[in-house]
Amino acid sequence: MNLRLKQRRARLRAWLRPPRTLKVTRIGRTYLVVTFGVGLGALNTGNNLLYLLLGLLLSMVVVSGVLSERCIRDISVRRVGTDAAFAGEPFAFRWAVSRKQGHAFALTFSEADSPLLGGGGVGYLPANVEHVVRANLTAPRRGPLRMTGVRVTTTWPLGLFAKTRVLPLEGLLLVYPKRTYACQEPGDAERGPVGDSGNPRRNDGSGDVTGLRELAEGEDARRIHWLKSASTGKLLRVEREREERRTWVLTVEAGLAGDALERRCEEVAALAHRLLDEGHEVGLNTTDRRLRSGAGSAQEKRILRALAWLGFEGAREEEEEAA
Amino acid sequence: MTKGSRLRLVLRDVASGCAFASMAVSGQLPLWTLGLYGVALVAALAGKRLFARRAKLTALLLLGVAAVLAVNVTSGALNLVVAACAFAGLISAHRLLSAPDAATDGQVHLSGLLMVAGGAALSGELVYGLFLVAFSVLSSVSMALGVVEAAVPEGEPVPVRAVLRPLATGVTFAVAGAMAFFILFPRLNWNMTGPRAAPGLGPATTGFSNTVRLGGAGTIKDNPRIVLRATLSPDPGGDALNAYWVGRTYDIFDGLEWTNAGGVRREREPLLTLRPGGDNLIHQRVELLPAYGGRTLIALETPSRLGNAVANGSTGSRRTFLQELAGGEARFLEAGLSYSYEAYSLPPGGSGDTFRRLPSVEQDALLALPEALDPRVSQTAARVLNGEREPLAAAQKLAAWLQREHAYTLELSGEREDPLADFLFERKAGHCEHFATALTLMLRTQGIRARLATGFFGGERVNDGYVLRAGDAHAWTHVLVPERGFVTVDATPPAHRPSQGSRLLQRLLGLYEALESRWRNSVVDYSFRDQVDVARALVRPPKGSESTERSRLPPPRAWGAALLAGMVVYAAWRLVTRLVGRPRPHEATRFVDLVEAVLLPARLFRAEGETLEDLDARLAREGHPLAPALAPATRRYLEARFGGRPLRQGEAEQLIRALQRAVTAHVRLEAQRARAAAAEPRARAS
Amino acid sequence: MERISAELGRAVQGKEAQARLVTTCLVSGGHLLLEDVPGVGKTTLAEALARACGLSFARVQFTADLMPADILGAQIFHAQTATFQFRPGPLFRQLVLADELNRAPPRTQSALLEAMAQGQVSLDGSTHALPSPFTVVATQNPVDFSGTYPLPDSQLDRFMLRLSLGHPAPDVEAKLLATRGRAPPLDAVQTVSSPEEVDMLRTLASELRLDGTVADYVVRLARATREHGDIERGASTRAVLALGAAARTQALWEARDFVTPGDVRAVLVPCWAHRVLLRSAVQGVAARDEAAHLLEELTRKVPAPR
Repeated sequence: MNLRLKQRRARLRAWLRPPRTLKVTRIGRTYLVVTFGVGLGALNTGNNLLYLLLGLLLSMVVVSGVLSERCIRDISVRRVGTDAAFAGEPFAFRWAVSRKQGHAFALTFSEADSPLLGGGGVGYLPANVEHVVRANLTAPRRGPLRMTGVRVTTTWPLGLFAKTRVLPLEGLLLVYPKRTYACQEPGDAERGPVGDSGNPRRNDGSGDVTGLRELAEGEDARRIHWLKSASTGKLLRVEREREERRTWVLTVEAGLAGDALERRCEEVAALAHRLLDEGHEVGLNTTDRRLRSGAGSAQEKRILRALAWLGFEGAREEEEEAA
Repeated sequence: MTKGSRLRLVLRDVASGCAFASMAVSGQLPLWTLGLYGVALVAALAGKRLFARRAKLTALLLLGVAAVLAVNVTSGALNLVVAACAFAGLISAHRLLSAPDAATDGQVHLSGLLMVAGGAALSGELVYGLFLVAFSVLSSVSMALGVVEAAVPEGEPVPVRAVLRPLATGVTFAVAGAMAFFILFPRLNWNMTGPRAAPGLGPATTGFSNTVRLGGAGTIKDNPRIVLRATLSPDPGGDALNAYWVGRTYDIFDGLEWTNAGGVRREREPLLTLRPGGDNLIHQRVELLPAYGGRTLIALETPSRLGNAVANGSTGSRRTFLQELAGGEARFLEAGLSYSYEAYSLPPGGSGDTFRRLPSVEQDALLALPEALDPRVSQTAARVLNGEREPLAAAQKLAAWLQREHAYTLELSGEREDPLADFLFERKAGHCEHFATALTLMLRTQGIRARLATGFFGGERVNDGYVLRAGDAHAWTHVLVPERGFVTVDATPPAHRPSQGSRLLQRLLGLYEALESRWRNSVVDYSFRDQVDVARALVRPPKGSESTERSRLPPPRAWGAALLAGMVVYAAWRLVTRLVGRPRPHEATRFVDLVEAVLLPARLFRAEGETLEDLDARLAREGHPLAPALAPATRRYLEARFGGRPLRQGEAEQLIRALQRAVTAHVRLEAQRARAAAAEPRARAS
Repeated sequence: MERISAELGRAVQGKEAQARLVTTCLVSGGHLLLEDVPGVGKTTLAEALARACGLSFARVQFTADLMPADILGAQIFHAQTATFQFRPGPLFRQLVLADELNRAPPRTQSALLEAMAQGQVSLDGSTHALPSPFTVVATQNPVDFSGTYPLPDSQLDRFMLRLSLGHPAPDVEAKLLATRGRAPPLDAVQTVSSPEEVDMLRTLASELRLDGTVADYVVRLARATREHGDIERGASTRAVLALGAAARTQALWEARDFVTPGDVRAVLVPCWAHRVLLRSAVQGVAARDEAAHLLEELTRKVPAPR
């Protein structure tokens, strides 16, 4: 009961002091200067038409405030999130926005108090419709990113003032290492044929089928699974158990920190991407974790996640417990 | 370019056009700026942004224009305010032709704002108000579309329709707010120096010269423009005044032209007394509009005193002196676009002048005849009069004859040798000057003193005053009657005395004039005094209306109170429906909230989005000590929420209490364990 | 149900969770797709199911030359009466094991799938009803693709659940090694139920209460799959219905007479993992893994009713 009372008080406080910030845009500044000038002119000359104009300008300011407030009220946001966020390059991020009643116009969204750059917008948000806002965000660095709220800004109706409101919403975004080129060779495979083309049975088409995957560049056209390719519309190749599929276990050495760690993470991510793309199995060894080797894009995602958490183990414990 | 953004640009351009037009209606901008701006606007509307490529370079053109304007100003050909306004218009024109981006849009709107402000300084016409509203509406729609367009992701359509409705509401509120501000904002200064006059469009059409020449076409009769406004006191009432408004009189006719004997009588007077007045003078507050174009004062027949004259120019108003000329003409000494003055006139029935007291040149002129007067004029007059010698009766007899025998026409072409004879005996048709001249001369041949008077005939009611149109210009005859002075006799057929313009045009202009006069009274001339009146009317309704209308309608205060009460009720209703309409949380959901609140002290880690069900399952899996206590609560919650078996009265409390006990026990246990764990190493260390 | 599942567990050791799901599928009235590498006991599981429930059982080994008539049955000419008579094929059993379904030509596959969907067989203008309960357990080897006709993704939609057994745990395998020699595992399975009982369970399951909010939850999950960036084609309406039915049976396991969001989450992955088509080009088992991964992610993202 006590709790409910507290909740109610908090709600009342929030209602009384809505967390808004108001910024005057560039054109708005000029507008205010002109309004001031017109006001001076009206007072000095007593010209009634200037008074009329001044009244119009001032009430436009008031109406603009009221409309933008109506526009930004009653908005609820949830994060749909992203598929994959790599550091240093834009990734698609989505918020689902809706409101119970009334329209909203010209909303722009961004993450509040986080180093994520960029934002997305929606021109018109009718009531009771969930609209997915897309944005290209950029994260500066790898690692888990705590998000505390979504910043909603509108310059509606006239673009004179930008009204901003932060909707508190906890969340976590895992930023994968930057995508670069791998400069080092992955080293020897743990399992699988040794050497590059020493195996005479390399392309003989025997061996158990382990799966299909898209034909990569420079691969033998004889490996194409024509039936499946025809049905899906893209060139798929057959992968066999005994062929060039090898297993690597990549390692991020202990004791790295700062830039060296970042560099190594990027390197490992790039290597893993390349090897998985070629159809090999890749595992990962870090100071406190081992990732079993596996293939496919799910494995790549797992590796990227593990790499993203490197160096942020403290936060990770909590997250693990939560999951 | 999408449909929405094209619409936005068109709106922007038209708004800018409206802003420019609000200046242009004053008629003071130089013609070439009108032309330049017009070309720019048309090009912009056609989508040809000519300066899109070289915005910087073409800005040099503006520099050139500024130089030209500066030269004009220094040479005195152009007012500084006008030049500034024109420059603002040309800046806007340059921005219209530039590449449309966000900054340009802002500049176009702001220059529009400057132009509207300039228009307020230049003109005070009603049209200005219309353009002001049009500008604000179009401009805000365009700006709002721009704002929405900026937020819409690339390639998606701009929701134009959805924008318009809330925006229209907003603009309506803004206009209402502007009106409220206008009415309520205290006017701190008493001197109202608003623009009283702007030349308007088109040249002035009437005016008085020193002569009246017979012949030519009388096209002026169908010109419906309003040249004079007057408020009379005592107010005679009635829609048509049908009075003679005299400007000046003529007494010498040379066969073609009327002129006056004598020159300036009085040089410079603040107040002119033409003739002594009596008790029952009619007071007129007269305004001569720019369409009038002359400097001669007009007053109801017969003027007694004229004065308190003010000449309004584009820069302001100033008091001016008057000059009296021959023929009873009063003139302003200084030129202005329009004038206002006060006049007192004698009631109709005679001027009260006596022949003796007239100046001697005038005395002689009243019987003068042109040397080459056709003898038939005198013969005809004698025949018509048939021995009638009494001046007024004779004049009326001749006037009746003229009206009977001659037609009224405005289609007179060519210059005649002897226009009078031509009118009387050949063509037998003419306009008011012909009729008046004929009557005057025929009277003079018979030895009756008479003169020609020119001015206006008519007076059309507009609001609480009367207006005269250019087409009301008229000429008539003054007959000198002993004891009574000059008496007006009009030979023109009555139907053709006032303006002859098209009825529709006249009515439209009358309507406009009515609106314009309202606008002028309630907006342009709005003052602190009016504010006090408004305040007083709000506090206490005027006495007069109270006595007459109390029986039928409640006082305005009651209406206001009712409106307020209605609004309060509406707001309360809105609030209630909102509270009622809010989706009530399920009872079981509230129960779950309670359970979670109880679990809080146990410090169970919960993942985001983990439900109680999941939590329960996880605890059971992990063998957590709290699991047995939580299970019944979870089970009942699930049943109540999804199984359609609501919680019984008091059951929730029971479950919660049990759970609370378990949690407290658990917490205490944990704390003990933690203490023990903390104590252990210490014990070991010691 | 507990009994059935226990018997199944006896047959296929160390796979209690899968056994439960198989029973769920049977009770929900759906068909089952077993997808795994050879030799993990797919066939054993199906046979054990039939035996435990006392269902009539047929096993059809699908091969490249299997024709529709071979499974549906054919009109046979009777010389004495000079009439054609319908001789039902192996499909007219209560539990049909379609082994290595992807080896048969598409014609045969679609004949089987149509029978699965309609619950009847149309042949030469006459319609023959299939017995009830009718359940198909199809197995498919996801690894060995050569000479096979993998099921089109749309056909996969007809299977209610898809399971993969996976290799048994090492200790179970060791135990197997010790015991297998003595008696065939199927002998240990006793008939503990009857077709009537299965039918009864089906009606019971279909009468469970599905709260509006839970139904809404299912629909929101479906919408989430349709909107997800990595998913080419999300869950179909049939998938929504199947998930509802499976969740009902899942609630039956918990001895509840209503469905909770937790039930939905429990069967979500086996029910939908084979139905969503991913954007990436991976195929086979890896694709299923990834789909399962995505679906689990979705359950975290889509808020459950509370």
